[in-house]
Amino acid sequence: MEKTMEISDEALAGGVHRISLSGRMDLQGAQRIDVRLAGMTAAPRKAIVIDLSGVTFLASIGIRSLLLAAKGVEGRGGHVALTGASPLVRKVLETAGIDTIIPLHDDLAAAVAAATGR
Amino acid sequence: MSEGSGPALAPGLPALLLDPAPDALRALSNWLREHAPGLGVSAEAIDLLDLCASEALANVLEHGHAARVSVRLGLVDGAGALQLVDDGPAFDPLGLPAPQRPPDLAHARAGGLGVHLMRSLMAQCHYRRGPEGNVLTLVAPC
Repeated sequence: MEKTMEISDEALAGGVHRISLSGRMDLQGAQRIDVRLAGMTAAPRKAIVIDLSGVTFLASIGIRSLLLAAKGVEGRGGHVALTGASPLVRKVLETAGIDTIIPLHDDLAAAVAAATGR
Repeated sequence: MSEGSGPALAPGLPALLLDPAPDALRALSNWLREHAPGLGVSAEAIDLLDLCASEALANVLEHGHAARVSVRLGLVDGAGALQLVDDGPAFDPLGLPAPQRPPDLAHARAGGLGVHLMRSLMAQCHYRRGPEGNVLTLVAPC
């Protein structure tokens, strides 16, 4: 049985926040974390890395959550970058074309650089 | 892709019957993951079938007004395949236009990605409207 979706955040150096997601990001998973994700990506935060290392499954409803969060941050002049995608999650993001509009990096340092606009 | 009746699934498991409620998504995934390995379906193909079946079922939940959904699992030409039948009004998800790839985040739309994922990640997708309702067949890549 798939574990419940979880979300946590952590302040990194340089004003960057890392939001870590884990579990199955389907309808139920997205509904479980959406409100907290919106809160964790709200003003005044402008540099955010979303760590997908624990995400075992990503459906289009989960992509919607990521898009909405990233659009909100970018609308305030900030940046969101993704990291830690498994091969399956990466394939879904690439097939959906998300990797071309939200930077996706295997390496956390590269994701942090993208989130800070460097 | 064949037209008409669509690919025939290999006989095997009885159909999984689902009530069209959000819990059905997890029930379908668990059932698929329990039974597909025994048919020799690869782990990667199971992941892709799980995703695409989830998208198809989410469409039924969102648009279909169905009272019942049944799902059959089998093989088509040796590849893992699922057939979803719902008794809602006629609705061909594969007839929806493909979403345009957005030039940037500001223009990105969150809708329409599910059918795009199905079309892109499955070896075959086939829809027909039959007396039993909407019949959607998904065949994974080998």
